[in-house]
Amino acid sequence: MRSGDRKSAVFRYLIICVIATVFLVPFIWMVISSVKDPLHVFTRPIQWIPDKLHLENYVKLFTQYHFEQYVWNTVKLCLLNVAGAVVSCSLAAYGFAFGRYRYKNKIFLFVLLTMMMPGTITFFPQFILFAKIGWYGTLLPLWVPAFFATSAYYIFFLRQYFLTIPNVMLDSARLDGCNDLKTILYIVAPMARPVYVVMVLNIFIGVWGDFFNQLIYITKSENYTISIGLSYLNASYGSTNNSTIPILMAGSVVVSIPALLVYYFGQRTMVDGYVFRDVGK
Amino acid sequence: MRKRIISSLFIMSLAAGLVLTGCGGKESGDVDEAKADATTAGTVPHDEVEGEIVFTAWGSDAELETDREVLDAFQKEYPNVKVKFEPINDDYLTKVETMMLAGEAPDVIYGHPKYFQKWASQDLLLDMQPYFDNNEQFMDDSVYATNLYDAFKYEDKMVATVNGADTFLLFYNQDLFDEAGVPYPTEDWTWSDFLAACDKLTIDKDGDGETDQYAITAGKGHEQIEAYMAAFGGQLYDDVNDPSEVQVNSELNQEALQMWYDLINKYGYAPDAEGTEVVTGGFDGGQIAMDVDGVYQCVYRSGVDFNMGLAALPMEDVNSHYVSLMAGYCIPKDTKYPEAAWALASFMQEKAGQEILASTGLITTVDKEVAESDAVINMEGAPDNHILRVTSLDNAVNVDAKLTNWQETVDSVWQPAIDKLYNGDLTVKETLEKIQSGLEEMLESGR
Amino acid sequence: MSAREKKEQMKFFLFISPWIIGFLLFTLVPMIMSLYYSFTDWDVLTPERFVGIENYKGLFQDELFFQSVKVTGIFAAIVLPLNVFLSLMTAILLNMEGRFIGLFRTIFYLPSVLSGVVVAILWQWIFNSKYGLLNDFLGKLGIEGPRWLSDSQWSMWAMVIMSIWTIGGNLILYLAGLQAVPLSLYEAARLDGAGFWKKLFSITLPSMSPIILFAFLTTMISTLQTFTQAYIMTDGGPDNSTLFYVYYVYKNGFMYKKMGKACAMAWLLLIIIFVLSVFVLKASEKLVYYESDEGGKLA
Repeated sequence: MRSGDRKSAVFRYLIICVIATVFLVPFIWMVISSVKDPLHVFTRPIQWIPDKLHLENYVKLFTQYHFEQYVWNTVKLCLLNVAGAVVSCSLAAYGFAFGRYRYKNKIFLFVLLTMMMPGTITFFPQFILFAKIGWYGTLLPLWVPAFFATSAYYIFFLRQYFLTIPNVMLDSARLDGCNDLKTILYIVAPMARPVYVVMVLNIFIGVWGDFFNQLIYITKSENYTISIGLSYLNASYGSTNNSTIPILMAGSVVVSIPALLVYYFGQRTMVDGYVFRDVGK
Repeated sequence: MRKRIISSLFIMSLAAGLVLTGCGGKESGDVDEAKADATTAGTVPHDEVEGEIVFTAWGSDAELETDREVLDAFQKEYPNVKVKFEPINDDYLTKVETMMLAGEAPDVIYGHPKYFQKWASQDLLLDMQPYFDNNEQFMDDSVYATNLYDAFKYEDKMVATVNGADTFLLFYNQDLFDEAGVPYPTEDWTWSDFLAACDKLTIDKDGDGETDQYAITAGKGHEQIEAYMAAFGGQLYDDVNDPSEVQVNSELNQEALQMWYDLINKYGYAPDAEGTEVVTGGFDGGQIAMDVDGVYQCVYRSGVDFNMGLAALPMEDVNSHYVSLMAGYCIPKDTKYPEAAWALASFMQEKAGQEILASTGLITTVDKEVAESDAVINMEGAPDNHILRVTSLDNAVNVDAKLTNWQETVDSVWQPAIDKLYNGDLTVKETLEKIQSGLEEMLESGR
Repeated sequence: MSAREKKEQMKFFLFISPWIIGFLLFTLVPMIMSLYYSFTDWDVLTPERFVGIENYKGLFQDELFFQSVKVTGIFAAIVLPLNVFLSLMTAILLNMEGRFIGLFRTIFYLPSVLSGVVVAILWQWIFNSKYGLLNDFLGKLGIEGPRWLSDSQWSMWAMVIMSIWTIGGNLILYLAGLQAVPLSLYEAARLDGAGFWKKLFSITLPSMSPIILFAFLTTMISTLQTFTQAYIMTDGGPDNSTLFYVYYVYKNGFMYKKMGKACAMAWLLLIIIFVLSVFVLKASEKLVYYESDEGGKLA
């Protein structure tokens, strides 16, 4: 490596370190605050090293606030959404990749258009719809739609990957007696593994952090998700001595851990998943 | 073929759309309206009342604990009624209203009269008058402060049971007063006494230019500001329970608002709202000497580690008074179990329920005896002069106007104007003028 | 059509049937319904009343409506370039090998995968004017920080700052794109003596242009629908300075029960997004380079 390269590498690292520190600070504050007692969270100047570790805040999350219930509900929703999306989007992508129909590609273009649809526009009628069929107050509106290929985004990516499969492979599979289902499972889907990895991660994290939908549809405390639980903690009030801020921060830390783990280990695979084969229309 | 597929899809979606739109809103006769039989309403023996009901309320952990205690007592009294308690702290009003929209309303809803007025005007609430009529106790004004009932009536019919009325009083930290050598507030202290006390109580302990101890809180909430106005003798309307004239833009109110504003900005005796909200101590942590707040704060202030007393802001004007915040329990009209719902709503007003609600200092109960009882006034951790919470009621005015659009009025007229004042965008005079015209408009459109 | 072709056709529709049903039930029908409701005055509890274009006319007389458009527009105009381009620059910076590079990437990406609620709650307290992290830091620099969330002049900036913390969302996308640029191009450029900036503008950006466009569009659409921050942190205030469009839609629909007005606002948003998207696509025609267009021209 020439000295010029080394210098620029060091320089780069320096900038990265600065940026990383700035980005980390709020998070560090969050973690520190989660182990303080309420009176010490807001001090002037900020106490960066707590004098006593109040780990009981984490304990209280579960004993007093049933956080494990919220986590479980959220995990359930995430898994259901992932399952729904994987299944329905795969089917649709397969159809658009290999189906035979004169206007197939025109319909596909239309699907792409729906990517631009703001959720706001369908929101109120969907609410009325769900209320009419009695699903309001349950978790159903939060996962059933996922089984209907509502994400044009992933249909698109999956189709792109499916299309890279050489026809010879498909033909030979057909000759071997594979029906469509088997073809999908054993040949087509594995080709698009990176997209599935991305899907699983993104959808999981998306549902994990969803707020608006959960806010509207969830009413019973046994259905609370983490977002609702945190929001409840944030709105809850009381005397300063009983303040819930540290517990709220503890909850926030707990909620952030899956995101952390998932992305640290997944980021390699994710990068592969997005590589474009053919982006143009 | 393609044309047919597409057109049939189109027709199906139109049809689905029309069917669903056609089902907007309630059709009368659709749902079994709980029309109480006037003669038997509320007279079912307690162990025969059945049902599964949902009860919603808001509150800090301590308040919710109190609610749960009441529910336990209720359960014993009504063994065949199952109650599901759903506390809601985030945006209570919107949440409950959304539940009503979706047809999943709770059966017993805790709320303020302003909520009840709104819902009653939309014909959402059960008419409780027959139940009240059949209940001699409730109508007995030697037992209950029936003068409070008016706020809970819509078109002369009761639409909620009452739990009580909490006045806004001045909490003060006696230890800090002692330390600063300031005499405790008395019944006839003046605003100059007040300011002098504030001056001594605002202390920069370590000389770093930062105030470490403030004299008083000064929140932006409309109840607190109304408390100041009331102390000066000002009014919002001619009659808050039957408003016909807006009187908010008056000399007295200007003085009051100016005082509130100056406490923060001119004298620095009070931290700004963000500072008050934030956790470091505040009044409960012994860092602010006085706090104007609803007396329901007693519920967890009983645990503070200093000596606390109750007093009033200076009341120099002949019209000086207190403001009180009331709450009660209503029942949506189409509840499946009206008797069970009434059982719970009324239990809150019966002696057993009232005793529990009052025991922690949470509510100044509508049951007069309980409110003044020794168990309450001298409860553990009670502040000095606790009896003021009862005596102040005689000279208290409802902090909310009895208007169906009062909530909207606060949201769209009052609060934005106060926010502007707080930010320095408007002067006190301008703020009151703005509020005056806004309130007049809302009064007109609310009719 | 032969029997076999018919069968193939049926199979096609079978495979996309979940999508079709989903589209009809959850998209098309609600869209039509919301269009219908936008012409009514409806509070859900009572049957709706047809009022024609009253709602739309009413919007143009509603100063809060204009406020929400202004707030959302200004926010998007500031945040969008930052998100798309600043994030890109950081991605380029992070597009190197190294022992800890994975860690740094995670740090940069982390805020954007945190739950929106967590971010909003965290920053709500960071922005506290007396005791929050930000003003504490500014205080160390000798600057007295403003009342971020209580001052209508500063609240928008608070939202922007918070938004910058989460610009890592497109990082993975960018990294993938960067790594797909053929190294041979860079090699050739280096042999030609091209420096950092020349390489950036002649190779990296053009190759990345479809991705940048994609990121721009998707980020634009989601930024225009900002909601959580307004709900959790400011309730649209102070003095409606953070009254985001979708938050105002929520208020009208669920708080004021003006469903008709809310639906009208939603439809306007759709139209705005559509127009903007078309505009962006057209404007980018000259800028975006698709591999399929010119093979072999760059060598």
